[in-house]
Order: sequence, then C-alpha cells, then structure tokens
Amino acid sequence: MAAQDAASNAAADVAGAAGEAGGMVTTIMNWLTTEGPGMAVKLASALAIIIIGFWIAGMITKAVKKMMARSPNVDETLSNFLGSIVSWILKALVLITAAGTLGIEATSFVAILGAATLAIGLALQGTLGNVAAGVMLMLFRPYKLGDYVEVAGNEGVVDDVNIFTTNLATIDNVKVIIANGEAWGSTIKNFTSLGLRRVDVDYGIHYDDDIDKAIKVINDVAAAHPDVLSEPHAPWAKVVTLNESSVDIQSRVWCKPEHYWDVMFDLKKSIKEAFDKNGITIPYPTSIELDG
Amino acid sequence: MAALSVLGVDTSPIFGLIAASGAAFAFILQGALGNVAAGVMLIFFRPYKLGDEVEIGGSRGKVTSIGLTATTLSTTDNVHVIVANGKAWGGTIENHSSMGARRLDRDFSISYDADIDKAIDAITSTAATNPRVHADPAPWAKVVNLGDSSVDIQLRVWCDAADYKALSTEISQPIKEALDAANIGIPYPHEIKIKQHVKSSKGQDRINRLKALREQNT
Repeated sequence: MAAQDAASNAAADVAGAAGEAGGMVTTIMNWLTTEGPGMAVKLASALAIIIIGFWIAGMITKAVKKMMARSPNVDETLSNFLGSIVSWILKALVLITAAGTLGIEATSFVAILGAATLAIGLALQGTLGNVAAGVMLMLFRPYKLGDYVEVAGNEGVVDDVNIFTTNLATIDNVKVIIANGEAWGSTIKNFTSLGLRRVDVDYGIHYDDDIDKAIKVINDVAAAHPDVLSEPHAPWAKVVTLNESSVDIQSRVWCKPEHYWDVMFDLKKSIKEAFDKNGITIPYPTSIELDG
Repeated sequence: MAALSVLGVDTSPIFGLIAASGAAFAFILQGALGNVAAGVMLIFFRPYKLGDEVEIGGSRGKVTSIGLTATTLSTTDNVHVIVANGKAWGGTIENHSSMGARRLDRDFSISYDADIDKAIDAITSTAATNPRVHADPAPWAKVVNLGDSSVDIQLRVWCDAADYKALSTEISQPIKEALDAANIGIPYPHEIKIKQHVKSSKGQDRINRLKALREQNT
C-alpha cells in the first residue's frame, strides 16, 4: 500500500509540474496575445522616432552650421564645435522621447543629469580656480593695464586683465596669455607702479687708471643726460669690485620708468666715448704668463 | 530596460545606480573632463586660432586643429605635437602671430677702437633696405653692452609677424658686409698676456719641478 501511495504521489507531482509549466506557457502566450501587439507597436514607434528624429537632428545641425558659416564673426572651429553640441543635445532628446514611448519615465534621466552636473563641476575645477584668482587680481590690483610687469616668468606690458587670464605683450610683441591662477599663485614683479627706477651699470676701468677721474667722468656724463633725475638721488658712482682685469665702478642714476632702457643704453655709449676722450681705458681680460 | 519596465519592474533604482556610477566615472575621468572644459574655454576665448604660431605646454608650432580635448601643432621640422587642452589653458600661452607686427632683436659686436656712431649708422641703414623691415617704427640700434672684447650694439627692427622667421635668417649677412665695407671690425675674443719673469723662490721651485718631470717623461 505504502509503495502504491508513493507511486501515485510521484505521478501526481509530475502531473502537477507539467501543469505548472503549461500554466507558465499559457501566461506568456496570453500576455503575447493581449500585450504583444501593443508592445510591437511601441517598439516600432520608438524605432521610428529614433530614425526620423536623428534624421531631423542631422538636418537642424546642418542648417545651424550653414547659418554660422554665413556669419563673418564665427569661424570654422567655433561652428564645428557649436554644431556638434547642437547635434548631441538633439540626439539625446530623441533618445529620451523614444524611451518615453517605451514607458520609461523622463524623470529617470534627471538622476543621470545629476551625475553629469557633478562631472562638469569637477571638470571646471581648474577654470573656477582661475576665476577666483581673477577676482583677487581685480580686488588687490597688483598690476593695471599698461604696467610693465613680470608675471609667472613672463615679462611684458599688461594688455588685458580679464576674469580668466592676464594678457601681456612682450617687448618683441608676442602675446602671452597667462591663466590667472598661475599669475596670482606666483611672484609678480611690477616695474612701473613704484614710480621711479634706478639704472645700475658697472664700468670696468684699467688698474692703472685714475679712479677719481673715472668717477667724475661717469657722474658728469650721467648728469648731462636729459632724462636722468637729480631727485631722489643725484647720479652716484663708486668702486664696487676689484675684479680680475679691471676696477669695476658702478653707476647708479634715477629716471622715470619709461626712460629706463634709453637712459641705460645712452649712458653706456656716451660714457665709453667720454672714457676714450679722457684717456681712461676699458681693459681686455688680462693674464700673466710666467717664465723662469 | 524597456522590457523590464514593460514587465512592471520599477526601473528607477537602476537609473539611480547608473547615476551613482556616473559620479564615480566623473571622478575617474576628471582629467579628461578637465581637458574638455579647457577646450570649451579655448573655443570661446580664442587665445589662438588655426594657423597661428604658438607656444603652449612647452611646445612651439603652428596650430593645425583645436579639438574638444586637445590642440594639435605642427613644428617647423614637421613633428605633429598633440597638447592636452588642460595644459594649454591652465598654463602660459604664447601667441607669436596674433599681434600682427613683431620686433626682431639682433646683437652685433664691434671693436672697442671702432667709431660707434658710424657702426650704428651702417647697421640701421642696411637693415632699412630689407623690404620686410617696417619703416615705422624705424630700425633702432644702440649700445647695449660694453663686453669683454667688444662693444655690443643691438639692432631692433619691426616686421610683419608672418615675415619674422624669414627676416631673422636674412638680416645678419648684409650687415656683416656693410660693417666690412665701413672698416668696422667684429673682434675675436681678446686676451692680454703679460710675460713676467719669476722672481719668487716658490714660483721657481715649481717651475724646476715641472721641468724635471718633463725630462723624466721624455
């Protein structure tokens, strides 16, 4: 009896399992017959939206590029760049619409947008740092337009200070664009802002020459230059080095910042010529050869 | 995903997951995204445009393309240089083309015995004959250095930015010829040697020692 029971139980189990599987199949079949046609329509419409949408997006992008190409202010780089941005935005909209027809809510994409915002924030980190430095430069004004400065190792006249960059024109007219973060974060030298500059030049004279006479010649020539000022200090010259082949006299004169280089170069020429006239020599390097 | 939502599975957690991993990706791709941001800045602020001669990220060349992540240059010896935009925008950009005119500086050394005014006149008038050199501002030359063996005169001329390289290779030769014609010497390094007989016993000892050594070797 017990064996019979077991057998019939097993048979019932098999039948039950078969019935269950059959049920599953029927459910799917039912779903396919009731929901299937709707689903197929949805898929087809989504596909159509993607195909037509991409086609329209392409047309709009082309039109935008054409429009920008006509404008004289927009060049190739900018129109390509803006065109690709327009294209990506339109394609994204098409994809979201297509997803909407399949029953995926657009709100889900907001979460992704959040992540994108974070990514953009991180990407702009460096640029925003420059903006902060730009604000510092605006507030503290270490230099203004037209100043001759050294910023982050580059010398030139300040051409433009904007929120992201400082632009210099070097003396040989190269445009140098320095990120404000780099400008504010490193040493700034301003050659203009203090008003007056001192021009220091060393002149080497022969060891046998009369030092007092040489000093007098240097100071007389310097004082005669129209751009050399007698205030805050009159031209000054003293022996600064007893060098290998020459006695070096340093000349220090004051002038306005805009005259700095002219004064330096003019004095070098006229002092050399005055030395020639007064019998003071600028010696060549001299060495002594021993014989014995 | 569409199938899942059709089957009634709530898909918003899955999007949440994508969003969260998006944040992680943002961290991982920070450098690359920074380049894109810098690219956007470069495209809007235009520190350089196609064809400009620039120095960015330590590389010098002509701009051949400005992409979203990188700027490409071609150097004069035809090397293709790709500079990440973050490096270009975050650092110093030198644009050798955008100012239109450039100043070319060149030093010429003349003898201490030469007439400086004559030399300056020869240098500036010869420079002015080059058609690339601008008449305004006129060529400028002054003594910039009293060197060891020579008086150094610097010539400064202005030219179109596009002519700069050509001019820099053709400015020196005619000036050298003009200086020759005006009998103004470009000196070799000078050194004055004074022969001095050795008197001190210390010096004499040393010379004797050296002589003995030399004899030993021969």
